[in-house]
Amino acid sequence: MKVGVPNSFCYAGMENFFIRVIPEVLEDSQIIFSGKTTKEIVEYGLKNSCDELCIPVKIFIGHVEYLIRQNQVDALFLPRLVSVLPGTYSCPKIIGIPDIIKSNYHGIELVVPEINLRKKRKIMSEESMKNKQLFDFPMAKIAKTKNIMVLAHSYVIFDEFLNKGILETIKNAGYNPIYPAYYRFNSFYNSSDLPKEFFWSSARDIYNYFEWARNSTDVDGVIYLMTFGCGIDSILQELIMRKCNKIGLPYLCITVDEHCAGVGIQTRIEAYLDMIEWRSNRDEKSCLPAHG
Amino acid sequence: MSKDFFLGIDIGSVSTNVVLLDKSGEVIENMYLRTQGKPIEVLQKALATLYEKYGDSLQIKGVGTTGSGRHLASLVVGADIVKNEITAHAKAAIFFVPDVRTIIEIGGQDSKIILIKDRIVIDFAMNTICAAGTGSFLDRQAERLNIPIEKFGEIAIKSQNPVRIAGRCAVFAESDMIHKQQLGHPCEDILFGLCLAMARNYLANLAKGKSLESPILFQGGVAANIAMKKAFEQLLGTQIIVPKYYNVMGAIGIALLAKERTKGLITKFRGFENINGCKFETKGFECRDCSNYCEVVGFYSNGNLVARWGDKCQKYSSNRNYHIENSKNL
Repeated sequence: MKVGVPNSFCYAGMENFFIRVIPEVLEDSQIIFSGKTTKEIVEYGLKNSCDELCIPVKIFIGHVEYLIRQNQVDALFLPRLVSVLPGTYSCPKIIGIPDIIKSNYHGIELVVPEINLRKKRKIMSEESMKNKQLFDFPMAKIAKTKNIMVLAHSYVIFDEFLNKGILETIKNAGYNPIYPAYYRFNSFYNSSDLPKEFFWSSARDIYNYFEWARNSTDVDGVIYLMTFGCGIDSILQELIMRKCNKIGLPYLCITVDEHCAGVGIQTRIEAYLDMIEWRSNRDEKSCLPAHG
Repeated sequence: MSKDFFLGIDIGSVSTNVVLLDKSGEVIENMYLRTQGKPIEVLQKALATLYEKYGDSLQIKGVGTTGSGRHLASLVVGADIVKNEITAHAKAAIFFVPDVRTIIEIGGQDSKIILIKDRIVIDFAMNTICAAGTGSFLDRQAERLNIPIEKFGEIAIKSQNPVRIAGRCAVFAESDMIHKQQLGHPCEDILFGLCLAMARNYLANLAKGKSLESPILFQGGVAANIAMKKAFEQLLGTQIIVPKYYNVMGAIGIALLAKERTKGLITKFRGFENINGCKFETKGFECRDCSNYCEVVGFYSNGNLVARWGDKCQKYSSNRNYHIENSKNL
């Protein structure tokens, strides 16, 4: 049986988990990943989704369409990620995504196991849940100086179509991009000054990373990559912006959407890095306090 | 007169601006031309005009390009520095008004706010996807009302009782304007209402959460519109300065940056005769080698391929000799 796994959106970075788990759940299965986001996939997604969805969900639908059309899979493996971090919930769109697919694609088998660390309810085998590592994103190497913090959901940071190669742009300009690598973080750092912890796992992860990184390393600036129409981003972006303004850290928010040309993003990042450069040159000369 | 000159070129969506500075930063020549979708031709024409006027006495020591067409322009002229328009605008504003704190810049397709402290950019913002509050929208509305854009400000400033127009979205603003006009409001009230709506939209969109300190500079093509200046002054309750060269500030800034960059170096400028005698062409195709369908553009000078860009895998841009026959595209 050909089992398709769209590895974008909430399932991005879970490839190793799937390779481990799918053979246990489904016997005689051949796993097919949808691969990197391409323009073809994006076009499928835009054609098959409604306006109100955020761009990562639209792209996800494109991945599903691609698997069904191009690879002719017999089944789709879509675990329901209710909670992937103890004490939190995933975004409602993540929880509901198997249903979105179910109501739109008939005649294809859906395998929807539930992952819910909040209730410690286990639908999957004991063995596969022992290793709780769901995501395998490469961690960012932290340099001594010239670190630029890029904050976003991992499916934005690791999708070159969505972010228009922002990590490369920063590297080419001589800076070192650092970014949160989803959910691992919480286990060894958790001290936010917020009156109440975040409800969503991704928000908690991003905010904790922001707090940890700015306290423990030398960070020159913060770039928030916001996806158009994302509810979590809209509140988190504002919180981080206020914090940055308060402590005088250069901050830039970039909204990504369906644009095909990366020129707008390039211009903003170039100007932002120029600003940082300009500031640091001045700081050395006249001993002004750093960052204005 | 000193013989060393610096050239600044700003290719925007609506206008192409060329300035000539002398060694001290004095503006010798400034040109504001409409791009009209043909940036290369307009630029060539502008440089030809300069050459006709000054001839060989014009010794260019440095060239900079900025604006959304900066990479294209740098291939045409051989630029020493290629910079984004935000840095260029800030540079020029600080040069003319050293204690400037805020720059409001509204161009054809985008608008920006730049905050400055101690002659350093401390924050900036650019409009997002929507072009509701920019010059091309004003242009379109003036055209619809059959008013030459140059007269827009003159007429609007006479308004005593401006109407309220929603400025959030260009489409809503237009339908609002049409409703008001059918109700019989005079033209000047509608026009100034539109200016106020645009200024309000600008402040809500770009300046949100930022404090705008004086002195405030207003530059970019839209600063020609005196009614826009009045609208901003009304909303902010403070004086706004429109600098003398408001519409070519980006080009002045990049010329100043080119001057800094070429200190003690030889310019990469290709020379007026070489540029004017050259036939520049761009050819594009959609690559079908993989499912990314990149739009690859090739830049040709006198039929010779100079550069290619737009491909994600960089097989075209990194290797100029990558023969098109190798791929399935043609």
